[in-house]
Amino acid sequence: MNEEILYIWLSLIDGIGPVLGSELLGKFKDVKSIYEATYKDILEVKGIGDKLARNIVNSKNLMHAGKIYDYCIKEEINILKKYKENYPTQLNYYINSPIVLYAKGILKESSDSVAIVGSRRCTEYGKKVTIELATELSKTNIPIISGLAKGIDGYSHTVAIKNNSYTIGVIGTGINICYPKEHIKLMESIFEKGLVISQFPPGTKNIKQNFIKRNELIAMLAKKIVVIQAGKDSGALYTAKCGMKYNKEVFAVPNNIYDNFSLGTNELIFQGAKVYISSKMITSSSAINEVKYNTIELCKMNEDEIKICNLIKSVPLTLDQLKINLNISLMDIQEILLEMELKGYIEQKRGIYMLSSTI
Amino acid sequence: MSLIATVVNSFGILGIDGYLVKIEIDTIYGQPSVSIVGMGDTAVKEARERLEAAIINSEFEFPKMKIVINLSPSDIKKRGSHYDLGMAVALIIQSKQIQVEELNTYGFIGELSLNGDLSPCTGILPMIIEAKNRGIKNIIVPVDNVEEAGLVSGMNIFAFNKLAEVANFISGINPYEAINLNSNKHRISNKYLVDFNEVQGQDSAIEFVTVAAAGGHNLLMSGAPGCGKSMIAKRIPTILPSMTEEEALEVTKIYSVSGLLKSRGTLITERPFRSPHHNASLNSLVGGGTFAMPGEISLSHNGVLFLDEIAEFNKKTLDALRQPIEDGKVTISRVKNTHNFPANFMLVAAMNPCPCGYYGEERCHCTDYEIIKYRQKLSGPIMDRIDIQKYFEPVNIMDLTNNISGPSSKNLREKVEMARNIQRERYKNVKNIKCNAFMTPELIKEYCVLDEDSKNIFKNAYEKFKYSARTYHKFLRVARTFADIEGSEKISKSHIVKALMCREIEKEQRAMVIV
Repeated sequence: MNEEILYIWLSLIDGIGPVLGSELLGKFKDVKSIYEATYKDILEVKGIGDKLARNIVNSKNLMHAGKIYDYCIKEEINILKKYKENYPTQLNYYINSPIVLYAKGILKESSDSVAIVGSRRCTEYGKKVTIELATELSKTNIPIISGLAKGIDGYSHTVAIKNNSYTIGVIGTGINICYPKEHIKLMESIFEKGLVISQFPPGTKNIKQNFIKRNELIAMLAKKIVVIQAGKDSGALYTAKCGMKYNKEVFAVPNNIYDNFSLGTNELIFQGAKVYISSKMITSSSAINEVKYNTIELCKMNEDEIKICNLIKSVPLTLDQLKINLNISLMDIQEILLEMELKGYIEQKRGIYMLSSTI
Repeated sequence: MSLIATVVNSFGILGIDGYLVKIEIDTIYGQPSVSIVGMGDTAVKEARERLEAAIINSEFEFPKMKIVINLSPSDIKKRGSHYDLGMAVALIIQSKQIQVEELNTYGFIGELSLNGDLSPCTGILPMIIEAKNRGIKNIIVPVDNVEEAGLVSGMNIFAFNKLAEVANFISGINPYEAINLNSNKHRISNKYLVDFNEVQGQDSAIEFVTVAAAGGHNLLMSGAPGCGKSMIAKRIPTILPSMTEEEALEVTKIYSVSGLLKSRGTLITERPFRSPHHNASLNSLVGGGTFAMPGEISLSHNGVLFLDEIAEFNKKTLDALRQPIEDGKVTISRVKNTHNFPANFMLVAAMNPCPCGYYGEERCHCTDYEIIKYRQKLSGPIMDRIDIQKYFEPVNIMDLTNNISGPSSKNLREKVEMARNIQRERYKNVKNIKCNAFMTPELIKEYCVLDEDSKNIFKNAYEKFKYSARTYHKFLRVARTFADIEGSEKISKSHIVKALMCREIEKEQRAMVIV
């Protein structure tokens, strides 16, 4: 009998969650003996009562599990079994990590990975921080874990993929379902260059409770968790809380206290999360106290360029606003701005000029 | 009763052109009846009832014979009620109630009421033009149509109120009493109700609009709701150079056929501005129907076609615009005929930059995927045909309260006309090219020579922003217009800088964080 099928069978039984599943595995040592165990044997396991034991003994049909197994083989989905080879080692320490994981993509050691989480709707600020952090992580080859949702999640995966770095998407649906649909291309490229993990059997639709379980899994997988932006009841907060529970390093990006999109992150800081100030804090393991800011190469610029830089440093400005503040003709400003853009000092978005985030 | 059939001239409309229709009438002994052949529509078929009443009420006799009316050429479908007058006159002549000399020099257009009054009809202008081409000098029209008919020079237009008056005139009983025309109406004047100086706080954007108008470039405006996109679009016709008489006639002809001449008889002197709603069907936009009619793109011929919320338009509908934008005309094929409608318009489009509309502002929370998906509703080929794609800033409320008005339409039009004159001079020996937007690659090579400085900027920009190669010519065309508007013969660095500012949207799309 195939071990994978038995694992799937065990994970599908009503009433058997990750905890009881792990207890069973711990007691019987291998899954085959669980399948063959008698009612009496099962009753001895901690936390299993009369009804559940009877349920396990009575559900010996492997049809459904077999079908899932066949599907996974056909679709090249790896079935990762708890305590076995290929199963992310960092998860074995937790009693409540899932007993089966469905994974598609490249299996790789990922115990030093960083989770970037945040709300689906984010502001320009959140996007900027995400891209900066994800770029830095990609450059140092630290795997990025996120949830493949819209917004922050999508940006962090995308940056990793674009920099050819390993990334893990932990999803709350079956592995063959893409939610949200706009991420189908992203998901496919993660299949190629990274790994997509789901604890739910293929075909599981998007159900609210599953996303909470997904968030917990992210917290277990990651070594460090960075919460970029989170509203009051954001799912990202749950990830952070789990992370704190599991003694992970949790960072939160500070922001304006009146900003709805950052109520959650600021609250996290209050509760003891580390304040994120620079991407270097995440990438370098030792010197956390020593914060390095990205500095603009002011020395290379000429006088006008420095003037413009100083103007847009804190508040991005439009062309007309720059014209009012500078004593230069519109034509010249346009030329200078283009030059600066070409040199990569500044960026513009919808006609609003701001300092480039990559320098 | 005469032994041969009577033939009088009238006209039909095919597409937007008139064609000669001969109304032939014969009366045969037999059961009294009227039959009209020659592929007429219901309006033509029903003419028999109007005919009988109108003739009797005009105190003529309706012949009690078998009457056959043929509209020749008989294999083209005809429609409309304007054949009534021709039929009635032919019938009176055929039944020998009046006699007319040189009948073939007359053409008859007009609908009859039961009382024998003449009612106005549509499409007069192209019919008169056809008459002129055919050498038919004397045209009888209803009084209401006389001004429109008078737009064609060198014709004898006779306008009447009643069938009886027509009969008296052509048989030589009464001479024609000329109707006084208000000749002022014919002069080309620009009396737009709107002016650019009403647009406040968009000065830098208006510069690009002016350039678009000067070089005939298509324009895409992207900006938050309420930043004045529609307001600006509505004012673009006011800065376009005034129409030549030839252009005005073309436009009037199209409107005449479409029955859209609001004040019958006046030449349309304002450049048309059409803004179809975004759920417009393909046929209403490009033209069509059994009797192919001009669509919105032809109605905006020599003017501006404004597509507001262009991203909401049906993709198929938009893609149908590709050929007309390129050719300046649209070809609609029917089994028997192919209609060519002129459609030489300036495309002005407006869209929101993202689904929520507030892209770039603090309150916008659209993800890059959503933004790209929204913008991709405009297919590449359409975007390719839009030379200037500009962001429009939300208007600063201070500008509105300060009441500083922008440049006036008059000033801007002077700039545009100057630039157009330079272009006209430049392309006087090139066929079919009137402005910079239509420069061919060879012409670009000849007229858009760059100095080293400009070449460098170009090179750096292409490396940095990764523009596709085909945008190169677009940049040069726009840069040429920037130079023209300043009256400069050479394209300098500053013109290139401005041209590079015309594709912000495309540039930005490359910086988006998507796979």
